[in-house]
Amino acid sequence: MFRQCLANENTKNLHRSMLWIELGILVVVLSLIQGLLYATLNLNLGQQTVPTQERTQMMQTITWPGSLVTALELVAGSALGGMLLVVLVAAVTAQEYNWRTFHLWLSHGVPRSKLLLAKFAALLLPAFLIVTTGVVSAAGVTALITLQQSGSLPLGTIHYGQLLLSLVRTTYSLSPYAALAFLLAVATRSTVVSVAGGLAYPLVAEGLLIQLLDMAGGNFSRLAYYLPASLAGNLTSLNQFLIKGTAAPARTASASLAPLPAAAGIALWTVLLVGLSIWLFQRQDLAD
Amino acid sequence: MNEEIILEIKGLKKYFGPVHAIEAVDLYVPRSQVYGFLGPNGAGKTTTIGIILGLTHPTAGSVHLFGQNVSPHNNQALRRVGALVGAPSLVPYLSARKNLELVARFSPKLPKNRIESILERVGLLEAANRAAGRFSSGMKQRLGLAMALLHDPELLVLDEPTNGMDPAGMREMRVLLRELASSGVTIFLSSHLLHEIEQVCDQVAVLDKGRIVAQGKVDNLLGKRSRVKVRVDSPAEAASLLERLPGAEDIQPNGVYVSVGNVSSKQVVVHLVAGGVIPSEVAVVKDSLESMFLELTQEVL
Repeated sequence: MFRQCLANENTKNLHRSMLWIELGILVVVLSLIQGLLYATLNLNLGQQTVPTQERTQMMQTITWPGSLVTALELVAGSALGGMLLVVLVAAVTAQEYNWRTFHLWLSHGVPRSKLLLAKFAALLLPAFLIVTTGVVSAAGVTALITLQQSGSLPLGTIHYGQLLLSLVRTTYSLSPYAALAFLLAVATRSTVVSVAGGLAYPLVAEGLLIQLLDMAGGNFSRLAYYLPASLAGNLTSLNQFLIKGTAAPARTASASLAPLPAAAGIALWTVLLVGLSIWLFQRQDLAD
Repeated sequence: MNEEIILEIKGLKKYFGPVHAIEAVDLYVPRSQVYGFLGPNGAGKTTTIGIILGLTHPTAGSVHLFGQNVSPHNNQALRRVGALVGAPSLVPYLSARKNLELVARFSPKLPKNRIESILERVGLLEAANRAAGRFSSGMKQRLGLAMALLHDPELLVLDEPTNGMDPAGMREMRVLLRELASSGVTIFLSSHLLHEIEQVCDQVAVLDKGRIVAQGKVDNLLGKRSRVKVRVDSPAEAASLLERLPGAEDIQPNGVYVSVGNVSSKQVVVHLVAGGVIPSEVAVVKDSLESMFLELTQEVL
């Protein structure tokens, strides 16, 4: 039954125009960011020149291989990719109540827990598509910039296995944010509330919470390490290894968890939020 | 004769805070029957159907389908049920065919051409590749019915299935329900269209303010409420004679006719003839489901 639910959810997700519109938005926005940055650095807009050191650093973010790491950062939790995923998850889940399609599957004898679990699991495919599209699109635009700058692509500097792992890692780091939007959609049955809540947390609340915990000091400040943003940051710090010869990153105060415990923390948040969603769903009355 | 009960509801209650939507409902639906479920708006019909389909948690009581307990946490028995409750549940951006394919995934043993045949049966074959969200309400209703019938359910639960349908569509629905019933499908039908219910249903239950106020075979329920109507030359004398007939109730003279309830036509004729009044016409007039419904639920037109 879980397999059938998963197949149905995949069919529904992949036929949804919203997903393809979001991917289009992602491609356009990332291309614009990179194009404008390149234009700023090369066209001397406003008659001002960028200092050489800063120019070099900025050029690294829009040329291969550094641009691939930057692209992964742009599709992460509190960045564009994460926001697009939150909107998609909230809409896909809350609309099931409006369209009464949850009713349809349940009245066909589908168990509630399997239905909701399959729904969340299927949303990881659009998450992967968002991350991959962001990276592929950025790779395309920045390949042109790299060719313009150096005449060839430094294909030998990229660790392709690590690049693939980075896509999976970044998708995985988005899962607590997707799970939060999912929980809000199940709890409120409202697209607007779940989109607003799902976006407010990574964009406003989480940063504020980290600052408050930092101010509290002591053990409280350590709690900030276990919030999804810090955990995702620690895990995706491994993404820079897609560039061959990169040294291991130095552990900073804000990134004091090793990647493995960070990955476990992300799993815990996701399980907790999805588990709570299922618990709520089991108790809901769905008839009009 | 022992009838197999396939839907059994015992002591069902559902409270929404201080609102008692359903108060101790007991229902027994035998196999291969068309069972009408009537009640005014707010009587608790949709809540009852929601509990039958495992969508709503009952406050108390139980629902058994095919002998298996059904609840939101245990809804396996619903795999043998098809349902169309209110506005049909559809994925609006998918085509009619794709919507049916989603439902078909839960019944892997369906014949390959089942989707085509059901689309043809509900008259949607030509519109099969159009997005369901763009259908008229009648077409959506047909698609909802196709989704309910796709896996050949043993029990069909329908709540206002003719909503949004034109008269031709309603007639087709009536024919379809009769065909399904004759092929052995049990139908649990909730509708406001009492004339339709009377034409199609074998049994009915009437729900009012969350309680069952009448339940049984349509003929029996209406039979109990039949009246004997006689045409006589002297209605006043006949009425006076009938007042002395044991069991006679509600004697009503009306022009050259007199009608009386709770007695058989034979009793009436024998009694009148013995009293010297010879009726020139005798008829048994059955009450309509509508008038019974209105009387039971005290609805004012």
